[in-house]
Amino acid sequence: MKKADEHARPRGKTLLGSPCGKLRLYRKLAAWMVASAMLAIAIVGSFRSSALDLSLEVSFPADLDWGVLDIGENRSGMQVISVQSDVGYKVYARADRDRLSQWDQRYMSYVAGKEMTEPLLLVSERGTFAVGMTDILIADRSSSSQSETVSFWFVQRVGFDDTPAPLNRVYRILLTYTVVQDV
Amino acid sequence: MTKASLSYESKEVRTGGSSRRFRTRPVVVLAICIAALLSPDVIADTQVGHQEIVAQVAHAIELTVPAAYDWGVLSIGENESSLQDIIVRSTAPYDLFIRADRTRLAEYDLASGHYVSGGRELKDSLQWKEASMETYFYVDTIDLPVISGGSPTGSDGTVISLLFRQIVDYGDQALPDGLVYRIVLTYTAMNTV
Repeated sequence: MKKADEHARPRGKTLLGSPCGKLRLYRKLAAWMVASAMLAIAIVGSFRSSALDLSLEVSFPADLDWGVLDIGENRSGMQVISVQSDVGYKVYARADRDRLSQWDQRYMSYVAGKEMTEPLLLVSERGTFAVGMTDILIADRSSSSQSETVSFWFVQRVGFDDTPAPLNRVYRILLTYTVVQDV
Repeated sequence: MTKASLSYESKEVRTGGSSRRFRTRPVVVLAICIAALLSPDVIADTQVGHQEIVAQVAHAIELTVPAAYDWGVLSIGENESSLQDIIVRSTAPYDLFIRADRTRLAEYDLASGHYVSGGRELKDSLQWKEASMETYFYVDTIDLPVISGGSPTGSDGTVISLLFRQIVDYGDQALPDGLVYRIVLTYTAMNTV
């Protein structure tokens, strides 16, 4: 019995009183130090972000009223996206549909089954693309430190399979441009 | 005991009779998440803009008319021409008309390129019909409808075939060399809006 009491540890000295306890304590301290260091890095990083003024300013082209399209190839005026970015960026374009479609201006909705025969083409520095519902990369600026413009234009081919829209209808398509800074 | 101390499982530490849990792994995970959220290097700014494009398709029509037709020598009786094809391509409904510069074929001088003043004419007026129809009509100097309210044609167009008929009898005179009987037809196609 006395021998057993000799090995009993006094209360309150469980951790520091044995090598195993010290090891546990060191592990906890190390974990907290790692967490603290990460938080510190993040906070410093956020301040650094402010100091660098990492920003992206973009102006997109206005809505385009193309007027009356003639038989043959119709080319729009130049469309310009102005980008001011501290880092490189990419510009994507997509549409809400694959062809210009008749749009009822009274009901503000598309008319089913009434679309142009040929797709809308976008001509950019990277080539000519048929605009559709998936993003297409129209500009890739790997590095940029000042204001730049991305210029492009549209081409719409019209044939005798295309019919004029009746009163209160036009052909319409809605484009979405996305400018993404390089990480 | 050794195995437990190597893992990051929660460990219970008793101090002075009280019990407290120190969970080290959640703390590290939380810190990593916060760091990831705050770190500027992994956040790419993105801007999205929209542009509406609207347009109209022009009312357009294209007409291909037959080449000049040399009917050759007309015989006594009814002379029917070969099919004369008119091709219309239109984005919208259309009308097609025919008219002539005169109603009867008249004496024409090939050398001078003019009708002979006071010259001869065939006794019967030229007649025309759409090939699929039964009835012939006389040509006139005013527009006569060939197609009224034709449907938009598409890129292939619509072919309208015409036939002409000329009746010749002994009252009509044969012409010397250098002279022919002639008439000029004019086709007009227009969109109906």
